Parts: sequence; C-alpha cells; structure tokens
Amino acid sequence: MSNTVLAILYSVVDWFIPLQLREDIDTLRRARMFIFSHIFGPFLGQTITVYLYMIDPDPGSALWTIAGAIMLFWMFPLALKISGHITALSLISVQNLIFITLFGSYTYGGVSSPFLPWLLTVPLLAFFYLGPNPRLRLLVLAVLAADLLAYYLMYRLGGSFPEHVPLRSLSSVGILSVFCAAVYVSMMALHYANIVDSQSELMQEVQRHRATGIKLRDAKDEAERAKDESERANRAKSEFLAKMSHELRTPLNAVIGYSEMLLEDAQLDGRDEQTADLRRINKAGTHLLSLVTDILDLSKIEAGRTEVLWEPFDLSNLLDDVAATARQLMNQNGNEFIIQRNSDLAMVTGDATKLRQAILNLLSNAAKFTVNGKVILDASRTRGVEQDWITLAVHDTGVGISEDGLRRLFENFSQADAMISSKYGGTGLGLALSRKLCRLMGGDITVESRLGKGSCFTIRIPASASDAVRRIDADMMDIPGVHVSVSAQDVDVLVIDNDPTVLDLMQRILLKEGFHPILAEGGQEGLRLARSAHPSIIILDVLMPSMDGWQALRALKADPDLACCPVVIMAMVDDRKTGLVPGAAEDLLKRSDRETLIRVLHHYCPGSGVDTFQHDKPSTEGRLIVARTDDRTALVRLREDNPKAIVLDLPLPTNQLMEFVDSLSRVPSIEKLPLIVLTASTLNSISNEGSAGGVTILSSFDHTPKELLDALRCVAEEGFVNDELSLEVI
Amino acid sequence: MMNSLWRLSDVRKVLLVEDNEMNRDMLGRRLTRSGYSVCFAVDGPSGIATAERELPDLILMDIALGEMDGWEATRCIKVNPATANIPVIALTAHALASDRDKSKIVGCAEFDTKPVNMPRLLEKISSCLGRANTAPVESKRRP
Repeated sequence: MSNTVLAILYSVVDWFIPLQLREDIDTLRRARMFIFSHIFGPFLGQTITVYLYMIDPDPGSALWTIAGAIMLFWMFPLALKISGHITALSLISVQNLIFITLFGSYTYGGVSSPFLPWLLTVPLLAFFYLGPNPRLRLLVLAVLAADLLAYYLMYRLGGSFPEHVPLRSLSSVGILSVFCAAVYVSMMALHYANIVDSQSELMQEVQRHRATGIKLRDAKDEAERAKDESERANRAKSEFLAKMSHELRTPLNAVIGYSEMLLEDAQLDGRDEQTADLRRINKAGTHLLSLVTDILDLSKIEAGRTEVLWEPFDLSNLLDDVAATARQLMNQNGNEFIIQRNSDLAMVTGDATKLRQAILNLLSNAAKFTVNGKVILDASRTRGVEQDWITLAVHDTGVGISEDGLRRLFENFSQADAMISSKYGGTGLGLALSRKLCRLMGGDITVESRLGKGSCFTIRIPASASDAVRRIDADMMDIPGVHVSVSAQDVDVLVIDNDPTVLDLMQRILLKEGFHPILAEGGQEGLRLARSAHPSIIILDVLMPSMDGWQALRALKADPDLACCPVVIMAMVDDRKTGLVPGAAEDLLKRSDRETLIRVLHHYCPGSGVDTFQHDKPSTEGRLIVARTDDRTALVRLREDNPKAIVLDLPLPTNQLMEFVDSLSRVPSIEKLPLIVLTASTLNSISNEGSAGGVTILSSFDHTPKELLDALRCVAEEGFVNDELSLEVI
Repeated sequence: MMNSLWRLSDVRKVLLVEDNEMNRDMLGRRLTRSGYSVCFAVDGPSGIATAERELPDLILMDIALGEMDGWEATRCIKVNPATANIPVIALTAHALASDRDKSKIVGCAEFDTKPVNMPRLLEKISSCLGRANTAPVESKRRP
C-alpha cells in the first residue's frame, strides 16, 4: 500500500523533472528533493499565515506579502519543468525562504518570532538542492549573511520591530511553527536517509562486483597454471614417447634383424625345422613391433605429431597383402569377399602403411557388421586434371548405419549406436583414425549407408603426380650451354612441395648447381623449416593439398624474419598475378626449363657479384645478358657486352629503381639504348619523365612474356630477338 | 683418381656410425651380405674422423649417439669439404616430424626409422649412391 502511494508520489514528482536532469542519478535525486519540498513545504508554511489571519482578521499588507511569497514556492516545480535550471531556481528559492523567514520574523514578533525556527531549514535545504559544490555553498552562506545584515539594518533604522500582533498571542503560533519546521526537516531527513540507504546498497553491489572480479582473476590464474601444467605434461608425454619408442625399438631391431639373418642362413642350408622356428621368432618380433607402432601411432595422433612417409609403392601388391589378412576376418562371419580392381592401378606415391591401416580398418568393420553377406573391395584409378586419384570403395551388405549414426560416425570414440560396442566390441577410434590418416595423405573417407541394407565406405587419395614429374625430370636434366659463373656454395635453398618426386628432382638439380637444398613436404613443414633454417631462397609449390601454397606464401611474407627472403613460386598453372601480389620474388611454371630456374636462383643469390649467363644459341638469335645490376660492375659489364637493348626487372623500391634508371642514362655507351622496365608497381613518375628518354614501362601484372617480346621488337632497331627466347623474360 | 678406380670396382664402402653394439654388428653383417664394404664408428667424433680417413661412398648415421649426437656429427661432416659430398642417411628410432626436419637441415640425404626394414634401407642406400653417381662431385661446382 505504502509502496503504491510512494510510486504515485514519485511519478508526480518525476513529471516535473525535465529529461536533462535525469541522466545523472545525483542530479535526479536533488531535483526530486527540490520538487518534493516545493510541493509540500508551502502547506506547512501556510498554516502559520492562516493562524496569524485567524488571530488578526485585518492583518494588512505584511501578512499578504508573506502568504504570497509562500505560494510562490508552488511555481518552482513548473519553472523547473520549463527551464531545467535547477541551480538558479534553487538559489532563488533559498533567497525566497530567507526573505519569508526574516520578513515574517521582523513583522511578527522580532527575535521571538514564530518564523525564526524556519531559518534553520535554509542551509539544510540549500545544501540538499545544490549538491556538493563548495562555491555554491559559500554563496548560500553569503546570501544568508547579507539577508541577516539587512534584517539587522532594518531593525536599527526602524528603532524597534513593528508590532502587528501582541507578542503574547504569538506563543501558540510559535509552537505550531516549531512543530511544522520539525516535520519539514524530518521529511527532508527521511528522504536523505533513503538516499544514503540506496547509496550503501550501491556500494555493496560494487563490493560484490569487486569480489567477483578478484575471484575471476584467481580463476584465470588457476586456469593459466593448469594450462602450463598440461603443456608441461604434454611435453613430458612427448619426451616419454620418444624415449619409449627408442627403448622398445632398439632391442626389437636386434631380434628382428638377427632372426632374419639366421633365417636366411637356415634357408640356404636347408634346415627346415630351424627355418620354421626362426620364422616364428621373426613373426613374433614383427608382431610386437607392429603393436608398439600402433600404440605409438595412437599416442602420436593424440599429441598431434603424426607424419606421413611418402614412398612409391605398388598398389596391387598392397591389395593382395590386405586381402590375405582380410579373408580370414571375412570367413569368420561367413561373408563372401570379392576384390574388383582396375587393371592399371600402377605405382602410387604415398604412405603405404597408413593406407593399409585405413583399408584394413574398413574391411574389418565390414566383416564385423556383415553376417553371411558379401563384402566387395573396389579399387580404381581415375585421371584428374592435376593428378590421378585412387579410389578404394568397400561395399557391404551388413546392418547399415542410421542417419543419426552417420553424422557422428567419424568422431573420436563414437560408434553409431551404444548397443554396437556391447554387441560387436571395438573402441570407436578406428574410423576417426582412418579418416585422419587419409586426410594426412591428401585424401579423405566418405560414407553412404542405409539401415538394414548395407554401407559403402570410400577412400580417395591422390596417386601423386609422379608421371608428370618424371617427364619434367627428363626435360630438365643436363641442358647444355648453361654456365654458372658464380659459386652458390653454402646458399641454403628451401624447397616446399607436397610431391616427394618433385622434391627429389629439385634436390638433384640444386646439388648439381652447388646449392644446399633443404626439402619440406607441405606448407606447414616448410614454414617450420624456414623459421629454423633461415634459407637464402625459398622455392614454393602453390598447389599443395594440406596448406595452400598461396597461404604459405602469405604466412612467409607475414613473418618479419622471413619477409625479406625471396620466394620463387612453382606452379602447374600460370597463376602469375596472384603470385606477385603477396610479394613472391619470382614465379615459374613447373614445366619451365631448369635453366630459367637456375638463373632465377642465382639472381637472388646473396653476396654474389655479377652473374652473367650466356646462351650458346646460334648467333642469329641474339644474346640475352642477365646481370645482377645492383652491383656497379654490372654497368661495366653492360658496356663491354655492348647490348642492343636493356630489360630491367629489379625488385627495388620505386625511388631506388628511378635512381638506377638515372645512373644508366649517364653511362656514355648505353645512354641511348632502349630501356624496358618491368615492374609490379605503377611508376607514374618514371613513365612520365622516362618516356621522353626512350624508357618503356611494362607492368608485370598486365604483360605476358609474349607481349614483352613484342615490346622488345618494337624498341630494338634490329630484329635480334625472336620467339625462341620466350622463357628468358620476366 | 683413386676414387674413380674404387668406383669401377663397384664395391661401395658404407660407414656405419652406431653406438649399440648389437645393432652395429647385425646391421654391419647384413650390409656386408648385401655386397657393401662396411667400416664402423661407435660415436660422433670417431664417425667424423673415420669419414675423413676412409672417405666412404655413404654414411649411415645413428642419431642417438650419446655426447655428440648424429645431427652434430652430420653437420661436421657436411662442413668439411673433403666429406661434404658423401650422402648421409640418418637412422633414428624417434619417428617424429621434428627429427625429419633436423635431418634435412643438417643436410642428410635420407632419413629412416629403426628398426630398419632391410629392403627399404637397401633401396635408399642404392638410390643415394645412384644419385651421387649421376651427379658426380667434379661437375657440381665451378670455381
């Protein structure tokens, strides 16, 4: 009930408060206090005037002045609503109150006046209205002092207080006035106490938040400690794995190795009984080794440290091998097992062990969930655009998987149905592991299934681009006529390519040219090696499955330590534009010749002076001289070689490039030569001032080698350049 | 000259650096059976010394060698001009990606895990030797 009254009261009070005073809770409180006291205060004040009127029915102008001044207070809430100036209105109101008190006291009873107790409310109200502003408080006190002075002066000038009503008849109104003033002050005090209460609640809230903050910080520290702890534990686990791996494999190495040797001896000597025993020892050792390896594989996958070994292998042999193992499993449930294979499966480059693991897993699942049915392993090779793909599909006529089960199928420790683990056994790790293995090889496993009808799991992995690479091999090795005039010794070249055959090829080429190759299979490994080995040049394949080459390039260029390292892009497709954007130093087609590659590598070789490559092509085709032109001696060389035109392709900032163009134009014998500048950036300044001096600007973005040749033809006075030079540019 | 004569005789010399006696004996005998001439070293420093003295056609380097590990030994072999061109196959039981990275950084030609799969190791050895043959030392660098 009281709450409703209070709510109505507040809504009435709040109606008078303009919006701009509601933004700050402190101002709002002061405004509420202001409105409240101005609405109810005058009622209390007016009781005195009413009483005075009753004892003196003809009071004269003095009482009407007081009554009018008291009624004036009722105007203040409206004035506040209209103007919003609470401070000014407060000061006026305080002055009005002082006036009423002192004037009333002067005219009714002097220093014994019933009006005088109201003087006490003046500073109280003033400070409530005006808030914590020391200047305004001082101002209020000054106003009060001035008014008191005026009161005193009036008394001195008048000689005495005018006596409208005899003093003794004022005694009862005095009691009434004191009572009203006390009620008024109490109301203010209650209101103030209310504010203090709500403020202390606020403080408690703040305290609670602070405590929560401290708790959160503690929890965060705790979490960080736990993280450190788990990282340490993970490191310890990895170290333990490495150690166990060594400790377990070393004796197994001896067991398997010696038993194999003895087996060979026994077979040679025809000791059949020993042969059988030794075979058992060897088999047990191999079995133990495979168990150790499996457990380590699982642990490594959990630690995120699984790797793929790329080796060429015969898929047909692998399938024979797998079939022999799988057949036993099939027989247990009376299943018919059929292998359908495409005749030209041929050689595949990949991780045979992991592929075998994945196929066996699918086959053993099929055998497990199919009873007296049929399991078909369908192997085929399909020609793709970039490379061939191997597809291995395992069809069964077993229990099948529900749609819900299919969704969770490849999750760790997930089986299609809780019933399954009790009925068929297994950990539910097999499919997740198999998929992970296939993805590591750049492939995947997909599944189709119908409940009650059977399932089909399909492994699809790349067969590697080995054929294409072998062709390049033949093209690239031993091209006559390339003379390398600079020692590339100790120049580390990092080759990043997903294809081991390409890596192998690159290694041979680089070794032959005297570079020191570092090989990385894939972008992740490449980045890691780049950071640890700090190569002088990086050769990057942009068509890698796991981490896209462009991604790797951006990652390389984003690393401050590696950003300066020249990157040579290799790609089967001419994706030149993308390559230049993130700052690749040079890009080449994979099929481009080795000569170009070597030239480019030498071009970016650190510390080499001038490297000049000359074609031993027939003289009618002209010569192309490629020089490292950031060295001054190159200019000398240019003069000696007496070229007919100059093509500049320098990875330099614009101002340095301009400087160099300038220095070229000051060399006497070549100042008149046509100059073609290749650049990835727009050199408006050069083209503007350069076009007059016979400089042609070609943007690497917009011009193909063919267009460059056309430009060369145009600028050269004699037709010494022909199409056969096409790979020598840019 | 001696080197090329040695090659003509077609018996390739392999240096096996391995600290475990059983493994050294076993692997050595199996390599001998496969037609290689084998010399041994039991740790990193002796491996480096033996490589320089014997100038083998190929080095099989165990990585877990105690004080000086196989990586360091390989690095030393690769900075010595006399032995820099001898292909090194790293052998390690630690089949971890970081090991593979290290073997590449120090300049190993190949990387294999122990226990050795003999046919695979022999394949790698002959492939390394084949490469060394097609890209003979003389043509690698010009002054």
